[in-house]
Amino acid sequence: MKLNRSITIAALSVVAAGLLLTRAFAAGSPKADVQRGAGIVANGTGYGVVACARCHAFDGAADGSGAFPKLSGIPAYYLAKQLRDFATGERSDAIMSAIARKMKPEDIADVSEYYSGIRATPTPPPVAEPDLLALGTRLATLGDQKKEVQACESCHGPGGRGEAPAIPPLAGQYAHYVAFQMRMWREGYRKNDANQQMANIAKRLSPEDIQAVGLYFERLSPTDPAKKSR
Amino acid sequence: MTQKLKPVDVVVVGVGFMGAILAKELATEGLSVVGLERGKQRWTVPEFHAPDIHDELKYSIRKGMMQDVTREAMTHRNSLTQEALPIRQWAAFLPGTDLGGSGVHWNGQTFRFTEADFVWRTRMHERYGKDFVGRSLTIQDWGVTYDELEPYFDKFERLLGTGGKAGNLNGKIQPGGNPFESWRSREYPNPPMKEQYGGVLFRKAATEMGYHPFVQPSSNMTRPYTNTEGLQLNACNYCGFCERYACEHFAKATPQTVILPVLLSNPHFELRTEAQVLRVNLDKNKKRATGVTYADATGREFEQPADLVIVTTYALNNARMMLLSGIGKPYDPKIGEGVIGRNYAYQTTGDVYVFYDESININPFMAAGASGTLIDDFNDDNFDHGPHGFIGGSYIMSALTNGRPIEFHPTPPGTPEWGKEWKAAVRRHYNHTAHMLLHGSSMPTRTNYLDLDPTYKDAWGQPLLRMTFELPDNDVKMTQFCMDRAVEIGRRMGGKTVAGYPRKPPFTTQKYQTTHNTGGVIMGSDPSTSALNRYLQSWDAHNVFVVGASAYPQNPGYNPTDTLGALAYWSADAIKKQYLKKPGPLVPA
Amino acid sequence: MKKDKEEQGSRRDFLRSAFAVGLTAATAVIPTDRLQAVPTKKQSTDKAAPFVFFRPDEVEFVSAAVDRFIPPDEEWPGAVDAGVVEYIDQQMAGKWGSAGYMYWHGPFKEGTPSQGYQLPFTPAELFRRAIAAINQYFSAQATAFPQLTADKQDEYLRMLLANGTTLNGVPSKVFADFLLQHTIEGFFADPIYGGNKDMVAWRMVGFPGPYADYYELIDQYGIKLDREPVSIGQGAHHGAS
Repeated sequence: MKLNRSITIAALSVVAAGLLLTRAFAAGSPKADVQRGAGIVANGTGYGVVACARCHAFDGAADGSGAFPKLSGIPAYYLAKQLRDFATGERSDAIMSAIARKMKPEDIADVSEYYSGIRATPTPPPVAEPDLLALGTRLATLGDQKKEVQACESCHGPGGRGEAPAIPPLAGQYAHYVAFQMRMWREGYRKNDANQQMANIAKRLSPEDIQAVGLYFERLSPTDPAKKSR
Repeated sequence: MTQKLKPVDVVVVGVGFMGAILAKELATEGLSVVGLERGKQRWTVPEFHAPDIHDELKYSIRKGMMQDVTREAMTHRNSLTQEALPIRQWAAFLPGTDLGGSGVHWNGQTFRFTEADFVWRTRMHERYGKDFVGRSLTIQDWGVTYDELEPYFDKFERLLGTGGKAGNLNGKIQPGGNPFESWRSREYPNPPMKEQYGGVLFRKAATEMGYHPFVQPSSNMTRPYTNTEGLQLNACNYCGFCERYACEHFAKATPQTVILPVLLSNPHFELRTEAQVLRVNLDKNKKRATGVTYADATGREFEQPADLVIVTTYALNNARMMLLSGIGKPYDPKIGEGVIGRNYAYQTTGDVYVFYDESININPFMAAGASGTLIDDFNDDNFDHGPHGFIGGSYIMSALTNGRPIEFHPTPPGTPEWGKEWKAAVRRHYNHTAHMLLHGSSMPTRTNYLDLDPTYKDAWGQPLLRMTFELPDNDVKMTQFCMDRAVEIGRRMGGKTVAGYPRKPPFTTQKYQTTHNTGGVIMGSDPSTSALNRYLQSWDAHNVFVVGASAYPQNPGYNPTDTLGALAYWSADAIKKQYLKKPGPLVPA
Repeated sequence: MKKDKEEQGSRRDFLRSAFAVGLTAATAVIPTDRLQAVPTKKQSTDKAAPFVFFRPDEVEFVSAAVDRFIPPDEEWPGAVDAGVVEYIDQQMAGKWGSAGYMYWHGPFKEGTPSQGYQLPFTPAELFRRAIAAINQYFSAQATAFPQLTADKQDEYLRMLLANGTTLNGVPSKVFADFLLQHTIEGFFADPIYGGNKDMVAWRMVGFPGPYADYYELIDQYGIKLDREPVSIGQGAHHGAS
């Protein structure tokens, strides 16, 4: 049998793409200019990129309201992907979409590199009702058989430390922000996750579950992942 | 001392994939069904939660999910004249236990057998002649055809949520799929899996050589999926802990994720765990089963009367259950007569390693159980065997199911097995080695068979199963031929070193090959050479159905589960539509 | 993947031929020229490890032997520093050591390599018997095994692996294979089992450990993953189920 030519070409281009990616990735992070990133975070750019620090703060802890996420210590890979997704419309947000569209690729790389390297400033843990916290702990670390939902930590890592580079840490993130994103997924407004994983999970969780999971993660310290209970 | 329980319509022995399917189909008819499972209950939450489930020592090395070998082992010998000894630790094959059975720890590789496979003897004799096949191979036709099974394959794949690309839609060859597959009535329910780096390198080489690479059909979900039972599955995240492990993500099609919740909510079904079935009981004419006897966790015995007995205890255990129960004539290899234990076959596997330069990061740990890019060009009857002097074949697949380092730390030939040089080689090659699997057919012979061991007993005092098995010459020739082809591909893949390890006699129980043990209670159209008719109904006791790869008269080069699921639905349909209306033999003997 | 070894067949096969040459072979391989061996390697077993199964003289031999199987190098620790001795100790003291994972009914008979382990000794008994024989042998020599030069130690281990002798009824190849197998297990298993301390073996090869989600990365062909491995013991519920 003769082989379909398009398959051949597809196969070759996949290989080529793979090699390119290898190079891009290898070259990517070391090239990013942290100093320049810090400058953009503090001052913005002359071409309309607003200073990130205005909402996310220079230390990445944001303003404490929970309306804006903490960015400190999140892998550059993940931050850059979100910025690209905002720019392309894969992810949409009233504020971020407009800003990201003005960012050049190097702006995205530099800013992401900057925030990924910042050690988190501790914020006071939120008060939580014990029952709600217990629910959040159970969902995050064990999952729920009836709802067919796996433990958050099986991907987001022990104590919500994330799985670099593609899966963000959740430890210390504002509960309000986490819950808001979960609702965005559930309602279908946010779609830029890997293969609808988050949407699929969020749809099975109740508003109370979502609140509980957010609380659980905010109370974890980003620098001190959960210790083993043994 | 045996306590007699209230009769039920159906007793299902073993609640794994096939047991769950039969139980669900029959309970839905309104029959009272009891499922007897020797192991315990277990569910995704909390039993399978990560990271604890990703414990290589516990599950891969100590065989944490497998049949408790301390209680129920098997014995093996390579020839009739040798004394069989117990397999004291599982290694070559890994039968599962507990609720869901081996369906929990499988990889999700989902192949259909081909039209040729079901009429193998006829096909081989017609195409190559009786002399070509020779007398030593006891190949047979199945008594059922691919066309009859096609709707049931389709049904099973929609239960599982299999991902793949059709290669043959109603006879029309489709680009991107396997051009050698038999026709399918519609596309897979889900798209194919992502390919691994090794798969992409393999695809390029195989394509250049004129072969037909495609992505392995997989029942690891390629996107969120709601199956035909209304159960929801998540997408697989390629964690590299699939075979020998359970999935914490609701992402692998297992009895737990695709059928058990529905079965257990059916009021006509009752699950009893820690129920070790000792035998199927027969009436005094030995023509009809009256139920089963089982022991609970404390050893107390119970008799469960039933009108219908379905045996789904895994291929090897099915054969043993028939022998322990005295259903069907035990096979005698000296005269080639008898049916139970006949045509035991296995799978002829081999491995190729392609060692790359350090600039190529293969990332072996980024893997799904059914990740793989393969060619089917040298499998089955997909090529002319005339010049080669053997029948059957292998698929050749670039696949790494894991990078778990106790099991996976390849070193090139010539590397010492320990010491400084070994350590340096392990470090050097771990992330820079691709792997190809040869997964080949296994042909039955007159002397490869199963019976009861005369010496060794299980924890309940019953004889262990005795396996007499050696690699047939035909399969040794076959696998060497396919290995040569695979090594050629490996060289084309651009590695620095290519090392092939073909399977050679003697067969060893000490090295993992595959858990695709088949035969022993085979189906067919002649009661003198088969234990079951085409509906998996015992020729000898018409109210006993035996569902398992034990029914395969020989084992083709494809993974067995899809065909088994199709047979389970086919058998369930025959019971529902024919047997319940008129209990008795569905095929005249 | 230890292909060569497995393909070779092992144990009894080997034994049959080895037995034929029996004692002569064993004595022939025993080191005759006893150099003034300088104990060059520092053993981390000096710090009082709370061994459960091993006795002090057993620890000395096992430590020296496993550190030849996986020796320390400039960059990466060897088996001893990785905790392999602790791993083996825990395994021997537990269910595995007492044959709790094996079919353990007789009669015990000699089989072929294809039939696998058939000795009537549990893994713990096997270790104890064999090491006792080794230590007894070296007690009559000028230099104990741990004090031999690395080359001499390797020579002795090779003799054991080649089934050059019998150790209190245990064919030396059976014991040496067992020891090598446990060394590799302990080196690479999750640190919850006592070996692979600080996940050194995983760091050495680049295995990220049990937290594993590569959906987004698997088709970024050739990507180099640089992240700290994470062990099961770091999970919130470890030991809970």
